[in-house]
Amino acid sequence: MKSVSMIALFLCVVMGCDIRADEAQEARQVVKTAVDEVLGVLKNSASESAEVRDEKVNAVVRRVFDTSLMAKLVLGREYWPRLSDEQKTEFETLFVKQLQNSYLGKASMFTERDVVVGDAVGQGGKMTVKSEVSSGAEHISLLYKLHRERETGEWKIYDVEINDVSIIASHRTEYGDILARNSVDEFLERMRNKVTETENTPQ
Amino acid sequence: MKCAAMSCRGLTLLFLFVFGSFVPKAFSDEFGDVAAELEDEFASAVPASSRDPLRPLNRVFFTVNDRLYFWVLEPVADRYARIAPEAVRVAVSRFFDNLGFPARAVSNSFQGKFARTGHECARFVVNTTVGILGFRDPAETWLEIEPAPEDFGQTLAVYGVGEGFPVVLPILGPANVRDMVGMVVDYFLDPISYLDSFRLRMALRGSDRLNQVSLHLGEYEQLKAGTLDAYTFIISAYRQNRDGQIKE
Repeated sequence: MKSVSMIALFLCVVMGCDIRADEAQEARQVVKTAVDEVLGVLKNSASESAEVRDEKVNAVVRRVFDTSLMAKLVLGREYWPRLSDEQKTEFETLFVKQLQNSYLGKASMFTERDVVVGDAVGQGGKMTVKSEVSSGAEHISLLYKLHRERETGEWKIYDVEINDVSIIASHRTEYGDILARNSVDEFLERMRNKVTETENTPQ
Repeated sequence: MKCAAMSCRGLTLLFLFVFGSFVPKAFSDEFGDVAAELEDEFASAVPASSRDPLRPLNRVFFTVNDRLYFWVLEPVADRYARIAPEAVRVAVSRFFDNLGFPARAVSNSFQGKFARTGHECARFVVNTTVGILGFRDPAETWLEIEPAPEDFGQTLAVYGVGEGFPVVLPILGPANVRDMVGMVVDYFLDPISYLDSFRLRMALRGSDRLNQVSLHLGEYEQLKAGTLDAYTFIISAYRQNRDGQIKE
């Protein structure tokens, strides 16, 4: 009896390790595919209109990033509950646009060759994937943070650290500071204006 | 007796059920447990505004630097970038980087990172000779000796000196009290500081800065495009970046 349970325990450990390795592979694959896709779209964008390109990139971003979670985390326990349902949806859209406006311009300078995606590390439904981007004088280190979405079981990114600077943490500080001094309506107005202004300025 | 105890317990349970379910559930209902856990992670990170006593002054200098960038640095660097190919500008960057050797060597050794100090020494010798005054970097490309970037601000941090509070320096940009002190020490470890001519020192430092800007054109604009309040964002980003460097 004891040997059977020992074997069972042994199998559990081994299979557990296997599951862990599979999870790590899955998470890494999510990042790798997304990076390759986005870079591919940006590289080939010369022949397409800006809208088509943006649509494609947006599709990848929405698929791979858990944007609703990111929106919640960036406003946090203190401010998120203050928004109405409509405002929450609007904020999420604006926030994603804001991120695309600020980070993708840089991304278009790199090709797949410049990017190295490392292995995923982590456990308990959370993984991190390191990535290095080197081109010429540039050397950027990225850390993608992923969690497993409960409903779909898919790995999704909820934060990226660029040279140790977390997107969520930085914007959280920024927005928190504004919301401490302004109403939600004023805050959303500023975001709307900013996004419109950015989209109308040639990048 | 038994009846009283049981109804007491019942009341307590009822109380806990009614009130205990309200507070955390409101958040985790919306968020789910995963999000609530992540929320705690981010919440325990820096509370920003309380730690910026010089804020009004910092904002002034931040705006000064912003104007300096857009009115002077960026236009000149842009023209410079059109004339000088990237390879040349990267080489110039390496030259100035090589001059940072004494500061890096001192900081590495003060932090007990003796292997890295050795690397820096080796890099300096190889790059100054074979690498022609540091314009090239054979130490990394041929010998694969990686640089060990450190500065005295990081050294102070390793010795337990807290960052103090954010300080935005005119021209030099965001920093904090500790890093300012570090900059002073590094000033005395910078070979350029020992040149006699003030003009030459300024010219060299200005060239270094201009060269750096030319290699990173458009980045500041992009950062501003993505923020409502670039100041708060940058203060937070600076802190996170420094914390990352210090840990390394």
